[in-house]
Amino acid sequence: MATAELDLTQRPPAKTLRKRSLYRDAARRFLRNRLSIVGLVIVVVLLIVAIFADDWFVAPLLGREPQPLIAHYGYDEAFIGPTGGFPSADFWMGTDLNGRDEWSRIVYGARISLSIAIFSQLLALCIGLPMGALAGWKGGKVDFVIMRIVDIMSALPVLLLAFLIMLRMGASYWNVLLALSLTTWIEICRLTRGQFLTLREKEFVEASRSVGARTPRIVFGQILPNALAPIIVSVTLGVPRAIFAEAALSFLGVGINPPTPSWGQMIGREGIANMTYFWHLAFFPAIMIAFTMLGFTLVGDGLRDALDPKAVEGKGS
Amino acid sequence: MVRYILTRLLGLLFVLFVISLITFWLMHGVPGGPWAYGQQLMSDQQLAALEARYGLDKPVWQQYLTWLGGVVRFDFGMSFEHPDESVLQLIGRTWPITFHLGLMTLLVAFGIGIPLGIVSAVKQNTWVDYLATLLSIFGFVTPHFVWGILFILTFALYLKWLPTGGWEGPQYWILPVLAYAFAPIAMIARYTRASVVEALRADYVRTARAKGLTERTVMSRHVLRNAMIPMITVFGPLVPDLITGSIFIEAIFRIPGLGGYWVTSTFDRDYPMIIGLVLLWAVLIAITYLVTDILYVFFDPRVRIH
Repeated sequence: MATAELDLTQRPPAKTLRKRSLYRDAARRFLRNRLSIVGLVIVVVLLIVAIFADDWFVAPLLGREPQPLIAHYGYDEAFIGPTGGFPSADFWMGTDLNGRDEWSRIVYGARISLSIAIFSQLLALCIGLPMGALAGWKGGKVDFVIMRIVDIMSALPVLLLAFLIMLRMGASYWNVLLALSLTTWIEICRLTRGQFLTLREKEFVEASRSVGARTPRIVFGQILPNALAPIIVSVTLGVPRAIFAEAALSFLGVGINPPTPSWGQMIGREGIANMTYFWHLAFFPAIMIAFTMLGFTLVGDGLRDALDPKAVEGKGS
Repeated sequence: MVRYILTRLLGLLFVLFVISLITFWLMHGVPGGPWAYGQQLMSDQQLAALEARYGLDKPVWQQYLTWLGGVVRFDFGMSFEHPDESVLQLIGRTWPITFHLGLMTLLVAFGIGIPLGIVSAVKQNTWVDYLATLLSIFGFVTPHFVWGILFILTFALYLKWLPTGGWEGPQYWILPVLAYAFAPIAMIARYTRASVVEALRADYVRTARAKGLTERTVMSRHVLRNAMIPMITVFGPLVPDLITGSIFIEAIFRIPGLGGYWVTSTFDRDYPMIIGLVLLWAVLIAITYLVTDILYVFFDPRVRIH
């Protein structure tokens, strides 16, 4: 074994071959795709806005409340401007009916929307991946039970289910996160199961079992890395959907509690009712939702094309 | 085939049973009751009398059995918020409006989405394709309530071409249908394009061209026919989704349909209505999947039911 490896590393052509792993290749393909670059730029800008809305990361060290950085004011500083003021040089996106700066609320809203969307998908991954892996790897009764749970979950109306969960637990940041992951893990579970079902029959799994590899080694070392690509894509494309779902819940008043702003809540509470005159109250949050979903969708599409080179030529496995 | 369908329907009954249990448990765990937030102030005795009348004073398992007993006789109970209507009557009154809206949306979505997808697949990597892709990306990423708001702002308030909301005649249909159809158009166009592009590369298409068939025949008999098969599974779930309505579209355009009840029933703790809607959805989803599976067998001779 050792000598074979040595031989490989000593030959220059083999060395360059080794560098071209799936992810390195994928990164090159991703960066060559103009649309995914646009998406990446949007996502990075939004993340910067969300993280640097205020200086929360140094404020505790200095022993004071966070001061706004990208935001101009705090999200709940009322009557700093006219009530329902239109966009102007001082208030870029106008002011809301409590005289709060709409720009600052949009900026803080980015933090809420993005963090809920990303963390809910990660949490859904933490539920869906082990469940799917278990179902696909074990098969039999375990698979049957998990798949019946998935069947039942997918026959429930998502919005109504999220609603009942929210009403039952109460509207708060963490409960939105939980409700969104409880309603989205099934897709990841299904996908992982499918991957495990096909991969566990592959020759390389048989080969590693024949040289004496134990189950954890096969599952984590062989199958999981090979199953990961479509799961990454699914999680990325889940983010825009979670942004929409958070906006929907907050729009209907069971999501994020005021005064903490969320884009959906801004549309639902003041935007819709005053659309005929104070158009900016609905317009800017609506545009931001669309823009954010655009960014993540383009990144997700780009990842899918980059990670699955077969998708261009024929059916992806 | 008949046996397959019967087995699936039996499985559906089991799913419905479990779903009704989950929903019952979830909705009765929500704090507050149907009359806790009412406008009318009631004395404790009145509230108790009302709860006794609807059996809400009994333990939840007993309420569940009573409800299940009604369902067997196809009686889903009376709506709490509309005491003169049963759940079935309420759904029967409001669903046709939503159904109408959903059907028009489906027609528009397929009528625009499929041709758009085919054109951008045939004219791949030309400006037509890029324009269609751009359009479908924007349709895909923008929630329908955002389209609704933008449409009302532009066409109703600024240009004053169409009414802002209501449901009285064809001019009231245009904006909600467009706002509602945008995302499905985008989705259909994207999948159609991908599917047609794949079919165009297939060997049987080269064979068909080599035989000297006209481009028209190749497209209609070989490419489109094969491209449509995988799309059945993707487009099937659109149907129950669109015909059950959207709270956002119906709230923004003030349409008196079923869509709003998906949310208001939970706000009002209208228990019979909540569980009625959940079951309606589950049945529609199950039927859709069954129909798509059967359609698959009809359109794709390679697929067998077992």
